[in-house]
Amino acid sequence: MEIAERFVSGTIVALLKGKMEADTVPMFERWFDTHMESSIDRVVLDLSGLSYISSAGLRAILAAAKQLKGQRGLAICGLYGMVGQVFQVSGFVSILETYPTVEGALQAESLID
Amino acid sequence: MGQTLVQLRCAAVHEQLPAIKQQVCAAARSAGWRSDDLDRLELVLEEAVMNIISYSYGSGRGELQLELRTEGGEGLRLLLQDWGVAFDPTSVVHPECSGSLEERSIGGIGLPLMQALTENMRYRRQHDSNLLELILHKRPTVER
Repeated sequence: MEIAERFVSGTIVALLKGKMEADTVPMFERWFDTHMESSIDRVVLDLSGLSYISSAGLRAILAAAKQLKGQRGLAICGLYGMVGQVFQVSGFVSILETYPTVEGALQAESLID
Repeated sequence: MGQTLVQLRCAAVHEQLPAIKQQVCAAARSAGWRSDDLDRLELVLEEAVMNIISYSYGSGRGELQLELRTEGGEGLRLLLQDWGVAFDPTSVVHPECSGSLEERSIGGIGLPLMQALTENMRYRRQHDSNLLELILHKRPTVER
């Protein structure tokens, strides 16, 4: 898995690429923890580059969303194919803030608080 | 009984997961499994194997045995065996699948996925071992 990040007015937008599985999740967790230390309060995860996600990936995303709860929050976008299906089946689409596109996520501030 | 595509036995440790996935997915691919169906198999496999690795033997060490067979014309049958603590994943009642962020627990995400993404999941305890049988059929492709 690769993470390509950019900053848009105080928000980190991260494009995740490859497979988010048991093996690669620790890398995401380290990446996220590093940003938490620098007091980032909103993260947009663009999953359009992911070809695969397992419950290990979902668990890490849920943990990240919980950490950002009460701040400006975690938003998810780019849910397609297998990854979109896993988000549907797990019910994650209804508990996380999701948008079709990065632009949508950037325009909407976290309303779920 | 169908044709055996993979048969392996190895230590139930994290380090084995990539090799197990590679072997099973390569065999499924050569049996004509592609794209969404292959991803689904990989996911179910990862969840089932990770459950054994993470929970079956506690802090001790043990082994797992895996078999992949063809099932009927279009299906696959994945059989997993371990000799750890008795655990029936088919008996677990789903935690809340919706609700709010706070209510959703970090655990209990993998089993509902396994149940949703397989056609059938059967468990039996046999001579101090857990035997889990997962049946997958090809499904119509979901439009992107």
